[in-house]
Amino acid sequence: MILKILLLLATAALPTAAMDCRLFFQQMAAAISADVRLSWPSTLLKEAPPGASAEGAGKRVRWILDQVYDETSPLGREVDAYFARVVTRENWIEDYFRSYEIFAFSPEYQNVMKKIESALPAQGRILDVGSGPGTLSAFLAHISRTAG
Amino acid sequence: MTLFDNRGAMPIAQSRLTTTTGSPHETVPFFLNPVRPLPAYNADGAVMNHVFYTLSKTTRMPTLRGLLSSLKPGGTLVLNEPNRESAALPGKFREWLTDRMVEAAENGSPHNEFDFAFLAAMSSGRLTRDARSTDLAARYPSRAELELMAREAGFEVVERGSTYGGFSTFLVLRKPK
Repeated sequence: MILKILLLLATAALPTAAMDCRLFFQQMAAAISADVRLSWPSTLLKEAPPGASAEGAGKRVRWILDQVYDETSPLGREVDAYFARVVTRENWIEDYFRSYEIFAFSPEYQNVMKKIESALPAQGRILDVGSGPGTLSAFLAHISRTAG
Repeated sequence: MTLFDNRGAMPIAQSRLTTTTGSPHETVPFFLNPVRPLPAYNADGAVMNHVFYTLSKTTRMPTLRGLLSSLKPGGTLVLNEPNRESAALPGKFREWLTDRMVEAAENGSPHNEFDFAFLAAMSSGRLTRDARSTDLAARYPSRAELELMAREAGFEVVERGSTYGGFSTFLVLRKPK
């Protein structure tokens, strides 16, 4: 796994600000998710709609989220039990960062980050006061896309 | 590691952003890293997004005053906070977040099902607090209260609005010259 990531980083040609971040996301996510998926309760997802198309992917995610939010559903219960273990892992912060990057693919969420960024001075240093990965992920993604 | 390692955005961020933890790499969730007393950064701008409500009520005004002192005269603070009005509609906010995640999936997000579930659980507070015992309405300042606190701390209000589907109060504040 580590070798795979190192190899990926080495071959990622040290991405520049103008690079296609989405491509990089895809490469990194593919490398990382292989490990994560090993322990995900995938058997409970058999009833989820297939997600091959873009529309299908959306329906599948909505189905999963409905299950996750319902703490009495089999998946909801499994998620609670699973996350109780996950949050004890040393690298759960990585999960946190990575999952928040989902919002970088939401145009409406990005609009919030654009609004924040456009209200800040274009020049000079900006102090980020504990905003955390929710802001930082989308904010950085926006910066990287607009800076090139 | 995070997806931001070695990414083009990081050098840009490091040249523009200073975080309270010292590095964008080290930014950690607020619940693990309560905001420390702020040194005088002499910053041109500052951003605080969905953080203020996590502070205890006794530390809110000192934090705002600390932010004021950390800015240059004329510096800008962007404050974006969930408002009390939204606390009455937790289901609506969850719907809004769900729509954003569905939108991301349809838009080619490469994240896997674990990531979506993790984000949903995180956003709904199940991983960070016991939502059932947390009185969010008491923790979220109303739009009027947030603006009043900002004025009392010494900021001028330049712009007011809302974000996150109307669930957050958006204030652009300025340190007087």
